[in-house]
Amino acid sequence: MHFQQLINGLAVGSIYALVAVGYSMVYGVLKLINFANNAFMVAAAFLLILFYSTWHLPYGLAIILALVLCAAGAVFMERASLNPIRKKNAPGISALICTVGYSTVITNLLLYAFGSQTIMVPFVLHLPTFELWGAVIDPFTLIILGTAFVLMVFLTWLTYGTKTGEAMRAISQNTQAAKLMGVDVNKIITLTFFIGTACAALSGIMIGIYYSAVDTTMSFTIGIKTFAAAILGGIGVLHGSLVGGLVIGLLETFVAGYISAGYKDAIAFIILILVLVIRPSGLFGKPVQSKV
Amino acid sequence: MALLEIKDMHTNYGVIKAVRGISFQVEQGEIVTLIGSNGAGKSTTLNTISGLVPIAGGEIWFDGQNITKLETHDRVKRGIALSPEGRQVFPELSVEGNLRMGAYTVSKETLEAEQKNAYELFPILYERRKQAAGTLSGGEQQMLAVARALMCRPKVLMLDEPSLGLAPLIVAEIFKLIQRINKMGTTILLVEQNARMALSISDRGYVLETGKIVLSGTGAELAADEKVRSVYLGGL
Repeated sequence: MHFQQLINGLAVGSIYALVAVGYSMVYGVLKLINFANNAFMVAAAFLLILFYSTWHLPYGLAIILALVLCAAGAVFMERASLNPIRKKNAPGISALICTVGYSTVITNLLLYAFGSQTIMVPFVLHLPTFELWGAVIDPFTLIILGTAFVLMVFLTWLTYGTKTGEAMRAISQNTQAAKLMGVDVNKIITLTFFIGTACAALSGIMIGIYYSAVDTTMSFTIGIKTFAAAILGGIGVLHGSLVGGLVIGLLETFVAGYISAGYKDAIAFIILILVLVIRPSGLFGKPVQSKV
Repeated sequence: MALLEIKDMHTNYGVIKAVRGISFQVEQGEIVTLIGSNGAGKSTTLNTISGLVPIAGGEIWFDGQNITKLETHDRVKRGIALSPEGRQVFPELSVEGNLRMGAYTVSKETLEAEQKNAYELFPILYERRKQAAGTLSGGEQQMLAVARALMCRPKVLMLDEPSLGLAPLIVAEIFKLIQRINKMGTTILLVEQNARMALSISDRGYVLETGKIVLSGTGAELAADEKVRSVYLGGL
């Protein structure tokens, strides 16, 4: 029983972590909460349904197309709207509300195209469940854990082991100085949107498969939880998002399993509030420094 | 032909006209200083040349080409480096990481060669190479900012208030290093409030007042000028 909950919690948590990474990476370079992140997450699951179930494209190709399209959508948002807003030195809140706008438009487009009912997300591998230490394991949870692990290793390498990653960190610490080093800041920002959104989109597909269902309200319900995960871990910090996602995923699974499914969201947020009261910048976040 | 030529440059901050039509040149191999009081437009001039703030009018020519419309990173690639006011090191990157960022536009070989040069010029940075830059003292951060700007082998190095907030002994050391860097072949454009020190090492200088150049001459001429002495050298 405990082991079962643990496995389920880890699976949900690592999906949350990947969406949280999407928030966190963009925040790292732009100090912007990209609220369209959650809309792209849900859009990916719907696009998979469109490409695979309606257009009958090969499953792998359908997934890749869905990911690339979502990531490209985020890049479009950055180039067409966020970049011009930044150029005019607008206050940060303008860009923020712009992403809320994109989120709403995308969610409404999905409603228009797919309707408000819950749709089944297809999965082609029929893997038999097996028992381990008294728990019934759905092999797909292992695929989730493996994918999340590989992606986290890749993102850690990208951030700490490459020149591009060092440029990202430099931008996050001092954008103006990064420009003076010869960094093409807009190029790095575009790349960050692409990677961050692709991670969120992949999570959307995995969560759709995991629950065998997707509907547009998930943009809000999962969106707000993964945003909370990013804040809990310390937004802008990569491993913070991982821990934040896992903590929220495990918490809600254990609360649902041992107390009641009805309380799971509330308890996750009570923990979040408690952590923030004690550590306002999150578990791994740096205390806010005000520049002189 | 001058290495850097500014033609009738204007820069605005909103409605404030910070720089109002200045023209000057920096020749290959020179040390040129812009002096002036707070708000005269000195930093704005450097920030406009590096492309951090948009130009409102006029032209910037560098190495025979019009670079007025280029983005900051393209100007850096062409050889214009700025060590900005307030040092602006990357606080969470190590000293080494900061130097690597300075060499962002150049090859790995250049990075290694320039890193060696930097540690020779600033031995303290070698001692601190693994330390996060935010933990360095003000003087050490200033040295890091200068070393970092040199990593891309710039043709012209612009220094914005390198002596600001530093103890007199360290100021003297920084100015000696600026001369040394210049002797090694880098052209210097310097902005300083410490006018006496700056003029003493400069080939030429310009005096800025409320966004306009009001006086120019060799370092020695300006240092001897009646008005400069009374306004910028504290009447000594």
